[in-house]
Amino acid sequence: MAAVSDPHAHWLEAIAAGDEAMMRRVYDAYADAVYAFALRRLAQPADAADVLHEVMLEVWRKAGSYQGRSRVRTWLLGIAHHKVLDRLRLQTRRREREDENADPCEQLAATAGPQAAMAGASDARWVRHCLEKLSTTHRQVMHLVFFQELSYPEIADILQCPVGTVKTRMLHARRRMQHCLETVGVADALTE
Amino acid sequence: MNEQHAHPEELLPFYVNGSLDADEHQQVENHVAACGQCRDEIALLQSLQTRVAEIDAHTAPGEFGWQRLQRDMRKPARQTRRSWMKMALAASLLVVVVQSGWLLQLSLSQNDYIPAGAHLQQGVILQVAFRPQATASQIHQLLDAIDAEIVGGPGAAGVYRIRLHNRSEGDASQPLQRLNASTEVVEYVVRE
Repeated sequence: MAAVSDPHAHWLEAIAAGDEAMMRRVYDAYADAVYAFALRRLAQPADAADVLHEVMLEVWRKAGSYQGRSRVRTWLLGIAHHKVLDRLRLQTRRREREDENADPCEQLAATAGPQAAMAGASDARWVRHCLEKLSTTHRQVMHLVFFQELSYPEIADILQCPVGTVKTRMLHARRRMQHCLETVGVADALTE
Repeated sequence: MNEQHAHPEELLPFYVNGSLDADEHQQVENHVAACGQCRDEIALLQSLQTRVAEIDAHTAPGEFGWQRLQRDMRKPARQTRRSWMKMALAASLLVVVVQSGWLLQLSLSQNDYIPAGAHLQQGVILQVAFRPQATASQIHQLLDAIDAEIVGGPGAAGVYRIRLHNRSEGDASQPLQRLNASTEVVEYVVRE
């Protein structure tokens, strides 16, 4: 990939030389974006805060490895993506251990009645509901497109997948969103 | 429908988030000038972007997160994987011992039986970081005063999860105020 011009690239050069004040600037500029990205996948604020901490610590220790092939934001979210996957793998292993001892009645109760829980919700809540009903990969691409405002080559770089996959995934996410809104009877929720 | 008149459906989300390159941007502009269906789709995607941006906007632990990061930045980086694993194992054991002691002490002082997993289903959960100089006694007194218990943590960022007993979602403002006012013990608190 060709070098990309990013006005913040020199911040990383300064950090690689041990400039703590510049690290503070990176933290202030990108902490919310990294935190929101991690929270989207991990759900728990404490886990997202941990990922943010780990990402920023890696920036401090490995800023010299930034080669200018992507924007700083893309580079940071790429690191965050790997940290999130590590944590999800840990959570999966932990959950598998817990499931061995879980009470099946509790599991049933936990999955019962999503329609009842949403009864009386406004259209805005239905939109939220349908967003949350998307698969993890579809919801993640929605986040990267609409919250992080990244291009499809940048998203492909973060997720380590072909650009065609990113475009197709986004298209499917959008269609599933529409299907969900139609299913719950608020197909016009996004156009009102 | 030939290629020239095909709807650039896969590009529209990236047109909406402003990340297309100049050529693709122009291609979409030329198409939508004569395509009402794509203009409608763009309006819908813009609405979806607004919703996603609202839902996904989360603020990272600001000053507190920075202070924790700064503390770890000043620690020497791990020398080898093996020495890191030894340190991690030692730290984990220490956390388990300390936390077990605390939790046992808190349970005994309450003199009542809480079924395993009950904290996952009731009460309000908060994320709290205690000041490094706060003593176990001070923390214990504060948790007693707000009728709370530690149910998890600390993570890499030093954040604990605490549960407020007998509190509904809308009834956590007093304990939160108390925690925020206890600046000599509490460094950071946020609702989960």
